[in-house]
Amino acid sequence: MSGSDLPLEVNLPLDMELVRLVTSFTENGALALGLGGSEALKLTLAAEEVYAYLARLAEPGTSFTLRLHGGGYCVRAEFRCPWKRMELRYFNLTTEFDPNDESSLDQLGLVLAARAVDRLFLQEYDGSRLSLNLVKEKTYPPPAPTATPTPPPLASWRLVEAGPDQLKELAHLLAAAYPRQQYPSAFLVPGKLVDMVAGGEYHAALATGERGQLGGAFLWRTAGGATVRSYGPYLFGQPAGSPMAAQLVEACLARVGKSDALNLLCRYPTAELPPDYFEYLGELDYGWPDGSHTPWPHYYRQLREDPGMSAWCHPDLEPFLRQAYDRLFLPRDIHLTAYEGEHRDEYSVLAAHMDHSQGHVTLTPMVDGRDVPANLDLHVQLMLREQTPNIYVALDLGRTWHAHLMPVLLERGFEPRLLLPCAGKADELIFQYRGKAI
Amino acid sequence: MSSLAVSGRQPDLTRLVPAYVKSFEAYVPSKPDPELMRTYRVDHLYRLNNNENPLGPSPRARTVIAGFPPPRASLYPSGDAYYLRLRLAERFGLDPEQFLVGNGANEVITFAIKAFCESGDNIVTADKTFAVYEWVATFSGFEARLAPLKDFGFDDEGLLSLIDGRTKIVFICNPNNPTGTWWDEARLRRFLDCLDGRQIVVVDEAYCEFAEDPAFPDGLKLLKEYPNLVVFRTFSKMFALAGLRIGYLAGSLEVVEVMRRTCVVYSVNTLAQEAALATMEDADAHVAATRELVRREKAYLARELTGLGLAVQAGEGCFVMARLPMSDTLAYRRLMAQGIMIRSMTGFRFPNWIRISIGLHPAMEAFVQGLKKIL
Repeated sequence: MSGSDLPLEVNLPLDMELVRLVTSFTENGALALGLGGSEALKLTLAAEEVYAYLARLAEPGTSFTLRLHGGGYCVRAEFRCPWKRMELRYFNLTTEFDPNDESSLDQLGLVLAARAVDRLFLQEYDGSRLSLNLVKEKTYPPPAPTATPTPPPLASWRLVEAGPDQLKELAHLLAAAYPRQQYPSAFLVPGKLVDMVAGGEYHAALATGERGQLGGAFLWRTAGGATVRSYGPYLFGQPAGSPMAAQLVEACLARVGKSDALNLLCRYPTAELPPDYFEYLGELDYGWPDGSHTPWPHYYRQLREDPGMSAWCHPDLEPFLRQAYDRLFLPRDIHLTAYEGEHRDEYSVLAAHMDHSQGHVTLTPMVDGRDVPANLDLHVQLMLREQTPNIYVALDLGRTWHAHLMPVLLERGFEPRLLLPCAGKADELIFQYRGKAI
Repeated sequence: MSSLAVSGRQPDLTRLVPAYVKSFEAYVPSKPDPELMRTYRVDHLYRLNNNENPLGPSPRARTVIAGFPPPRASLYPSGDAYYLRLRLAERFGLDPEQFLVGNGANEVITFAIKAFCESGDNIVTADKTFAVYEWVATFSGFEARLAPLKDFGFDDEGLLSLIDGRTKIVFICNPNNPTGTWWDEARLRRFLDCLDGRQIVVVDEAYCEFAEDPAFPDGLKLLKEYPNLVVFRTFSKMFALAGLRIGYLAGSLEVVEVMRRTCVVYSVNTLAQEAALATMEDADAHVAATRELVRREKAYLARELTGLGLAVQAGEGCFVMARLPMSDTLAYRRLMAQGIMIRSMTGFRFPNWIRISIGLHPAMEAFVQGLKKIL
């Protein structure tokens, strides 16, 4: 989210006496930033639980900041405080609360908070400072069923900034012209797509004819960090090989080429993606509910000259990694590392980024712990129960402890498939679950 | 990994950092050559990325550099490059007070913007040109309005259409880096006449000494007629003192007097000032030798690139652009793996183009062979 407006902010000490101030601020702020009453209430509930949890366990006088960021289609509540003792394991998707266990009463609120919002993630956690983020999205009416005719080929077109009406038309055209694997499900909800672009997190270059007819689109998402994620290009009624696709990509590159991003990643490519502009990273298998699989290709291009970097790797995966780096012509120093009995905390945390409508989930290790194998098993079992056929794990090769998890993944039927350069602190390695019994 | 205890409170950067700085991309310079060679596992590196003069400094400048007495490093330099300004004035027939010398052209760009822009003002330049005008304006909190190039050149109509009452400076890169296109004197005069003194017009002539076309204008000669004109020049390119960081601007007495208020004194070191002075003693011979090299190698490069079926853009200047059928950043990595360093152009808003600086013939040959391998 990169809403251009300054966030709403309140600073106060962590003190249970002030919990009503937090709830009042959250609810009113969320409403002011565009959430509906129901969503604002859920965010408020989550904020209350997190604040209460922090206040119960904080040392007296601990400072606390709550910021509300408007994102157009959502509101992000950011909790910032110095913290060492927070039991983050309760943010695992698989956490179950035992009502008979009084010792876990303190944690119940965190479980409720995690379930009341759409996304939860840590922005920073270095052992002393915490930035915990709760994201609640607006609720939109489902797209009205409309018969959207495919536009005729455009003899001439111009590239324009996306307006609300054109974005709504885009949502309808996408549903009619492209399979669901080639765009995020949110793009099908016209009002949401409009808000996503208006909020500044998503951007769209459109090609329109003389009378404003929509001929094509390329979208991208800038959420800070090193990677810009792109979608498309989508062409409607244009002949194969139309230069419109390259022009749309160039319009995006003109915007992001001078940003602080390092990469333009395309995980939702179409057949119209101009190959000269992108590098082929590889592919995942995309599993459909009927058990069939189709390839899921990934492309990217760097936006800057690659300075080289280091990658941490378990010895078991060194051959794979070297081969991948050679194929991609990426200069990397591979450092081998393995867990060798050093102290680890007891509990791990895995963040789950889910897209139910598309049937895939990506797990990202957030906190290391001795229970990683069991935690991973629980997550896989949950996903399988929920009939999510595509389970991936993303490891950041810039973090040594992520490399320590590689053999755990291999033992549990995960296969290394894809390198995403500079997608994290360093490159990310994506593993795909291959269905081995656990 | 354990972290050291921090005794003070962390600064609230969200509040402290201005929005225009938050949204701004920090310039990340290339790593030093030894680091790049280690990273890319090569034992040599042809630097064809920074438009450096492969002949190096002129003989007179080399003598000064080699003979610089170490004890003088303990003394402050002339704070305003006194002798160098005298020499520049003598060479170009201007008043010494019409010159400001800075720590490279980048610094004199900041002099101009700091002197004339305040909150709500804007600058106007092209979208695909030397990036520092846009950078300095943006990170200083001023809007940079960008007119698209037309046929690879600065579009006077486009520039004029962006100018309003809050436009303080128009930056024109002549010849343009990276396209090599340029305005002749008549076109420059027309543009200056249109503005009629309402804005400062900066003409960046960093590469003017490479221009061989007799119609190429000399901005310094126009200063008497156009008091709103400011000309930037540098000793980094033709005169090969890039490592010493020294450049200058020239303008009318009144305009330069204003800019002097914002300039950083003592920012140009003694060795740079003295090497620049020396290079003016044998400048003509050095320019002639460099031009001959650039002319010859540019022709060779254009011929080879065209032969490979690539689109080529070359004008005045010591560089050539080529459009590749692949990502320019991929080409950068694959050429680096062969010890050849070019400039990828996505950051210039020329995706899939690369810019090749003119080097000595072995470097040019190595580049052509390297390029053939990756196409």
